[in-house]
Order: sequence, then structure tokens, then C-alpha cells
Amino acid sequence: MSAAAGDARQSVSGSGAAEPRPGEKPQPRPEERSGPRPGEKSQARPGEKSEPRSGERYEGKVSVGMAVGQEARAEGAAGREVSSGASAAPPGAVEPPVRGVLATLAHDRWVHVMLGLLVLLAAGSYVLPLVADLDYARQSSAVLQGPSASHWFGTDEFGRDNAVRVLVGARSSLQVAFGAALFAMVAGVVIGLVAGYFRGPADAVAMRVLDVLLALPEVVLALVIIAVLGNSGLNLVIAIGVAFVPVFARVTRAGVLALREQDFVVASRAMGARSPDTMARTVLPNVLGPIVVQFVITAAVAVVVSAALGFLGLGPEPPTPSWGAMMQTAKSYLYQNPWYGVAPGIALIVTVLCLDRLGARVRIALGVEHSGAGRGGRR
Amino acid sequence: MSLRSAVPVLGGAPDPCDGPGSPAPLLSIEDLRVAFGGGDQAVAAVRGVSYEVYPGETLGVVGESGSGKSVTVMAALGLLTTATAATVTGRVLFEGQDLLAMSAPQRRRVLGRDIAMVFQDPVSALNPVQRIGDQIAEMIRLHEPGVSRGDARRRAVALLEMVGVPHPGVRARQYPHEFSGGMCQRAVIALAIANRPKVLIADEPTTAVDVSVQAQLLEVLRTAARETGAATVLISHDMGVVAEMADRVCVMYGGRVVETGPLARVFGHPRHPYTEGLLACIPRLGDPVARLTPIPGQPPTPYLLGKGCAFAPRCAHRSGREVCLGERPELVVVDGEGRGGVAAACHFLAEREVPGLRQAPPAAAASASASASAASAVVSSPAASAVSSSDSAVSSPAAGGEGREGGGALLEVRELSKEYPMRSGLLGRRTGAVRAVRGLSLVVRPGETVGLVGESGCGKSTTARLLMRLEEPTSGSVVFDGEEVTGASAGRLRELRRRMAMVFQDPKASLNPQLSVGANVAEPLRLAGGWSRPARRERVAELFDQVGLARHHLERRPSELSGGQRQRVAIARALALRPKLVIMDEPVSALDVSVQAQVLNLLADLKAELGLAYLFVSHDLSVVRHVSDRVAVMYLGRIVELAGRDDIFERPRHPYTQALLRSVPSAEVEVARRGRRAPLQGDPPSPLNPPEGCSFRSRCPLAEEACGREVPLLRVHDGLPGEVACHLAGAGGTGAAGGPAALSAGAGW
Repeated sequence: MSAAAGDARQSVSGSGAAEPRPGEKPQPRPEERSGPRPGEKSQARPGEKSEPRSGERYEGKVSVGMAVGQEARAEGAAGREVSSGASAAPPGAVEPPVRGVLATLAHDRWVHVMLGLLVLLAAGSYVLPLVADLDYARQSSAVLQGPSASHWFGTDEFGRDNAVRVLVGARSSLQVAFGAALFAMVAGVVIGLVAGYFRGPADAVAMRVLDVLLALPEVVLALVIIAVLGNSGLNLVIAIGVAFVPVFARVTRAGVLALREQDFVVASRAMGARSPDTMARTVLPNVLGPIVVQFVITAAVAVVVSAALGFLGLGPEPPTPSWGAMMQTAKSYLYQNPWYGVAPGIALIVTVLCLDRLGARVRIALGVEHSGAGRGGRR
Repeated sequence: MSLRSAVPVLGGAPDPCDGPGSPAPLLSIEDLRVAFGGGDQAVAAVRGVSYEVYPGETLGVVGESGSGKSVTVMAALGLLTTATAATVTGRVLFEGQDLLAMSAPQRRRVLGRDIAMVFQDPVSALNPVQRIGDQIAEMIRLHEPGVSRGDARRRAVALLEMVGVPHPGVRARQYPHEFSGGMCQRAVIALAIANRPKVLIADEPTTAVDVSVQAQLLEVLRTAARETGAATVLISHDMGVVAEMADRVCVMYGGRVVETGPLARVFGHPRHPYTEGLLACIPRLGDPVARLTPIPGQPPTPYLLGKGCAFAPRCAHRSGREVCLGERPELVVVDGEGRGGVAAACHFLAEREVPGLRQAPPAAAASASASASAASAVVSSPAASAVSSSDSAVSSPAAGGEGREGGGALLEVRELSKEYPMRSGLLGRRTGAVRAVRGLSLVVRPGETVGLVGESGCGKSTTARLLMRLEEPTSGSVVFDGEEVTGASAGRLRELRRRMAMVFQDPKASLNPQLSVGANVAEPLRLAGGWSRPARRERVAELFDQVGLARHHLERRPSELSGGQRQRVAIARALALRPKLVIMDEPVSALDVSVQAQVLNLLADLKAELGLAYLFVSHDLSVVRHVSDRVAVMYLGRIVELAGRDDIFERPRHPYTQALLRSVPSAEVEVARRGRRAPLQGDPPSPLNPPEGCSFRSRCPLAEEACGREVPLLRVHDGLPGEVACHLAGAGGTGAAGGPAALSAGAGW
């Protein structure tokens, strides 16, 4: 009856006889019952709560044969006999199929659509100009045209084809977005992992610094950083990425704090593991779920930020197209060609929507209920 | 306090075996079935359960987790349907009316007034933002609208007094968080009996509390039932609790009742192989055996149950007969009729009625026959060899005590202390300290098992962690294998931790969920270095064989195994580097009893095979008695008694040890019903502010003024075996005759 025993025996109880106990609902699908994989820890697992020692209750998807087979010590001849005698079916045959996170995602129609659109956009922006005769810099005399059969989204002030420019503009948007999200993830995870694992003064200092970063709007922060570093593709990635480091650090740290007192982390130390080993092998894989979700969602926000910076004149040098810069120019010709800004706008909306939905589906697949991530995280 | 008055209750007064003249049942459940989910996915959790409760009796419903004992009750009271999409069929007759057929408002009028429930976790059963007294008063006024506020309050106070809450007037105005767990459960019982229900349903009412508090609560439940005249349904996994409380029992397995009948007849002469196995596999405090007889296999998973007998895969009596798998045995009356009759659901009841095997002293006969029958089916060769070796250990208990002086210490703990500072205020000033461990000294010798036993909060788990320096001790020293643990550098500590290992309570929490179980077991090897991949794989496979896991489990995730299998994995991991000492922190308390026996036997085998030393931390006295050579009893961070296993359990000398032993309910009907022990009063004091002098004096029946002056030291008194920390232990020869020992007389261990 240690404190831990108390946990194990916690039960769901209603006040008086009034409250229904969700407790006993068995969950037929194994992945819902399985232990805390990346995010599954927060998933409601009602089957576990209802009875004192119910931890193993619905857990063991042990086939009948195995259950019997493993009772006696395996090396004993008698034990083997029992085992083989009772195994009517091979182990595994009785079990419902196990679906991993990836398999769940692979069966998700939303994921098919969203991922498909993004891949199409990315592939189109890089590959199409190579195979077809599409040049984003080719000028013509037909300036500021509306949509037509030859120019689906019309033309700009130099008579360049808007459709091609939007397509190629996706390059910079996606590069910057994923680059920035990657940068933020690597830096944020390292900071969050170390701060959360060791706690102490280093944690306090790191978190206060990140709080300051969090207080600055990302566009302003990015502007300042580019002003200092100069305008280049890589600097743009860093400038936007820095703004998202605090979110990753916080998400990671929150997960680590919840994990560091868990028995299996303590067990890792008890086995003589060094701290970096424990952090990388034991703690990190168990907090990865919310981080992955955060990555996808951050990429969505970073697309918007990169467009905003483009709108302010930061981004790839002309004539290389970018969505933000296109919308900025479109604003000047709003009366001459109202269609000008529509194409980059739609592209932006579709991209952000795809990433955001994708993030949501990943979150569901991982069972991350509340990661502190998502749109509430920043913005 | 009213409840302390002698209770002639269950000694045998309301004889359950009244025969045919008995009254009609008060509540009867008829062919209740519960399925969760719909269509092909439907999982039947309860598969045709019938039982009835007669006025004034206590019906005990026993079963392991997953047996459907709680769901049955929840479904019967209509508490399941809303949130869980459960399909409930059958009839639940209360005073001739079918509860399931009633409309919700009708049912609400019955629930709480005529049928009341006591839940397992008292803290969450109370509304945290309402005063206790108000909650009870509200319950009274809900069903009796005519009662005035003032009257309801006064009745609430009276109820609290009845359930033994001290200073009920003051306590009624307090909130649940100001109550201890035991006190909360008393309040919940008061709440349940507020309207003098006709049926009181208690679902694992004492599982969340310590043994000493459990004994108090059972007493309260009895008083409550007596005062209100309610029939009680007591649901529990603990055979001891049921043996002590129930008139009739109902044994459930796999969503069905497998055996039912009067307590003494069912427990004394179990007809169903499961009941028999269940009774045989629990370690007994009074009657230690060298080796437990576990029920093989795992408790059933509801959605894997076939149409046959749910127990067939684990049954020692089946002997491969097909009928058990193909056909469901009906509950048939074996003996007697109606209320006094015994019914069991087994195809082969007739052949199990072998004359001569039983009818002797029932408990002994039951376990003997069970071990005989189960052994034939289960025992494998290494197990058999282990029996003989642990036999020898049992036969020379004294050697476990003080006799092994020459062996030298494997682990030596001196004056170990741990304080957790309490900080408060803006600046985090230190305002006090939780003194979890206070000057603990202990020696573990090679190849020996030392049991460390105590109630929750006594610091036993903290001690276990301090020994491996998973927590930094505040003071004191730990020497392991001749090397200082307390002062070791980080590198040395890593070395040391490879020679001692730890097994945690909850294997689900202690295994990395991201790694396969094989990888989990390989972790210590990888960390130690010097093991190539193939070498690791080979060692892991070897370990799997050693702990009785099949090799095809290697690639599974921990979440895919059952609790017992997971604990085997955790043990395999602990053994990976061939440690000399394994520290076990409640290794079996998260497991079902039938599985617990398997793991305890495994531990005994491994010890015999590998010459391991164990430090076995547990709150369960029966388990500790079963595994230990020497036992240390802890109370509030100190060891109060340390002696050889048999000395402690047969001749306990510290008043706390004696009280603790008296508090343990026994599954042996004889012992359970014998003149009921006086449970320890009150709750353990807070480690934030332990009593001066002897920490136990606030609850000690023998405390004198002198006990408050000085901390009693753990020492040998009068040349008797074992060490006791009690001022009164030496004075006037308490040991065998007078003083504290007088209390233990009649306990009958």
C-alpha cells in the first residue's frame, strides 16, 4: 500500500450511487488499449480504472494457448507439454490485428487527401517546370490579364503567367516553412529535454529566456533577426525558426516532466544508465508524439509567417516568385486586375489548411489529447 | 463509540442455512447479461449472472479482476447504460419490481434510499467542495423531503458518530480533503446508510486503505449493516475480507458465477476447481507452506472467451476433455436447497466429489488436495527441485534469523535518513520537513531474503530507492558488497547499480513502452557495454527461459502482455547482469492473486537457482511471511521490529507488529470467525509531524508517559531472538508472556 499502490488501485467512483462508471467498458481494438505510446498516455482508457488490480485486465491479448503455455517454466518438459496441448491456434491467430500509428494514418482518408495535395504542390513546383515549357520569368505584352485558357490565373504586371509563378512560389514557401519548423524542433527539443530532465537553475534560466522570445510576435522577431543577419534563404529559415523554439521546448519539457518520475525512467537510472542515454533512449521516444504533431502545425504557421515576410519585402530576390511578394504587388494593381492576388491567396490557404488538418489527424492517430500544441500554442 | 460495543454478528448468529423456511430474497439478479459495444465488436463482460441477497445477510462476491463482479452490480442498478453503450439484459428484482424495467425517475427513488452503494475510492466518491455533513444532510433530504435542514444536519452528525468519526460535530463541518482516506470511507458509509437502505452494496470498500484501517472499516460496515438491518453485498477480490464478512459467497469467473453457497461450505469444501485454486494460491499468514499452488495461465480477457467453460484453459481437472471447451457448464445445485444450498458450474462435479479427500480440517484439506492435483499438471522439473530447496529454507528458519552471522553483509545500511523539505511562501522558505526515513539500519546477507513491511507512508519504498541512490539520502550510509554507495562518484555508482537490481511494483509503468519486451530486457546489457548484439540476444533468450516466458514474446510490446507476464519481464531485466541483490518494491501487489502465486514461486526458484539476496518491500504480511528469511517492520520511517520470519509472525513483540498481524483478514473461515480482534485505532500520524519519543505511542494500547520522552532503540531484549524498538519490550519480560504479547494471545497464528 505504498503511494504507488494507491495509484494502481484508484477507481472511478461516483458520488453516492448517482454517477455512471465508465469503468468497465472493454475496448476491443488493441492499439487503444496499449500502454503509453507516444501520445496514448492521455487517452481515456476506461477499462483500467474500474477495479483494484485491473491494470492487466483487458491488456493481455494473450491467446489461450500462450496463457497456458507460459505458466510453467518453459524449460520444463511438462510445461511444454501443457503448452503445446492447449494451443489450438498459433499464438497471434486469436489476437485482433495490431495497428500502429503509421498504419492508422495510412488508413485515414483525410491524410490521403491532405498529404496528396501537399505532395502534388511540392512535386509540381520542382518537377513541372523541368518537364513542361513553363518559365516563371518569361514576360509578355499581355499584362494584368484576368483568367483565360492560356493563363489560368491571369498574368501579372510584366505579363508573366500567374499560375506558373504561384506554382514555383510554393518552393520558397515550403522550404522556408519546413526548414524553420525543423530548426525550431531540433533546438526546442534539446532545450526542453535538458531543462525538463535536470530541472534546477538551468531550467529556470532557459525557460525565462524562452518566455521572452514567446512574448515577441514572430514576424517582428523575424524582421529583427533578418535585419541583423541579412536577407538570405538560410537566414529566413533561422529567423522564422527561432520564433518557434519556445513552443517546442515547452511541449517537450512538459512531456519530460511528466515522464521523469515514471518507474521506467527511474528503472533506466537504476540499471546504471548515463543521463544522456536515459534522455535519448528512454525519455525522448515517449515524448515524440506531441512533438511530431507540433512539427506539422508549426510548418503550417511558418508558411503564413514566410508569406507575411514576403509581403513585407523579405524573401527570395525577384524575379524568383514568392506568394507573399505576389500578394504585395497584387495590392497595387487591385483595380486593374482584381484576380491577381487570388491565386497566391488560394495557394496559401490550401497549403495551410492541408498542414493544419494533417497535424490534427496525426494528433488523433497518436492519441495526443492535449499537447499544449496546436493553434493555441502560438498565434 | 457505538461500534466498539461487542458485536455478536457473524460469529454464527444469523445462520444462513435456514433451509426452505427462509424468507424471499430482497434483491435478486436473474440471468443478467452485459455486453459492451455493438454488432460484431460486442464484448460480453457479464454472461448470465444470477444471485440473490436475503434480508439481513451479507453476500460476498469474489473474483479476480475482469470477472465481471463490479459490472454486474453497476448494470443491475442501471448505472452503466448512459455513457458506455452497454447492452444489459436480464431481470433485477427488488421487492418484486424489476429495476431494469423501471423508468429512470422511478429507479432514482429506489437508488440511494433503498439501495445504497459504497465505492472503492472514498476520496473521489465525495464532493470535494461540499462539507461532509452537508453532503449527508442533502442525501437525507433528497429522499425524505419533509425533514428540516436542522434535523438533517443533526442526523448527519449522529451518522458520523455511528461510523466512528471522532468529534463528529466538528468533522461534519469539514471538507473531504481534511479527512484521511479511512475517514473518508467512513463518511461514504455514513452517506450510504443515511436513508436506512435495505440493501447496501460495497464495491471493494477497503481496497484503497491500509490493513489496520481496513480492519476498522470492516467493523464499521458490520455496525452499519446491523444498525440499519440492511442486507449487504460485499464485492471484493480479497478472500480474507470475504471470509470475515460474508454469510454466503458467490465466486465469479469470466463473467459468470462458478460457485455459490454458504461461506463455510464453499470455502471449506470448494466444489469448483477455480474456487479451490483460488483458495490454494493465496499465501496464508497462519499456515505457511513452502510453495504456493498457483492457478496456471492468466485471468480471462472478456473478448477472448469462447462458448465453453471460461476456466477450462487454466483448469487442472479438465485433462484435455473437449466438453469443457465446447459447452458451457450450468450452475447446478450440488447440495442443499435455496439459501443454504451450494451450487457450482462444472461439468465434472461428480468426479470431484471424491470421498476421503475432504471433510478433515477443511482449509488444510482443501489446500492439500489442491496442491496434489495442481502439482501433477503443472510442476516442471526445475520447479520441483526448487520445492526441495525452499523446503530446506523453511525447515531452518532460525538460520535465517541470527544464525548466519558468519556470512558477512552484502548490504549494510547504517542510520539512513531522508527528509523532504516542505517549502512555502513566495520565497520558498523551508517551513518543515517530511521525515520519510529516520535513522534506519539494516543488514542483508548474501542469499537471504529480508522482508521490509509496513503500511503506506511508512517510508519503505523510499528506503528501497535510497539504497540504490535513486534518491539522495539526507544522512547515513549504505555499503553494498564492501563498497560505499552513499559517497560513490557517478561512475562508481553506475558500476554498483549493475550489481544490484530493482523490480518495481507496477510492471506496466516500469517497462519502457516504446521498446519491445526483449529490448527492455536487453537494456541493462547494452548499458553495461561489452555485450555484442548476438550475445545480448542470446542472454535475453536465456533470461526469458529462466523466468518462464515464451521466446515468441520477445518482440512484443509491454502493453501486449498481461500483468503477470510483464512482471516476469521486469524480473528478467533485473537479472540480466547477474546481480547479487535484487530490491523488490511491492513486486506482486499489482497482480491478481492467482498470478501473484506464480510470480512468488518464480522468485523462490530464482533465489534457489542463482543464490540471490532479496530485499522484499511489501505491505502484504502474508506475502512477506511466505518469501522472507528475516523481516523488518517499519513504522513512520523507523524499524520497530526486526527478527527471523517465524519469530516475527509467531511471537511478535512490538505492539505495532502484533496489531498489524491481528488486522490481516484470513481466508480460513475458522480463523476469520474466531473472536474478532481489536483493530488498531486511528490513522498513522503524519510523517511531517511524528509524535515525540516512540512514534507509535499515539496508537499504542500500552503507551505510557515514558514512551514520549525518548526514542526507543532497536535492540535485543532479554536475550530473545530478534530486535525490538519498544521501551516496554524489556520491562518485565514482555517477550513470551506479559505485556504486549498478551494482546496477541488468541490471534492464533
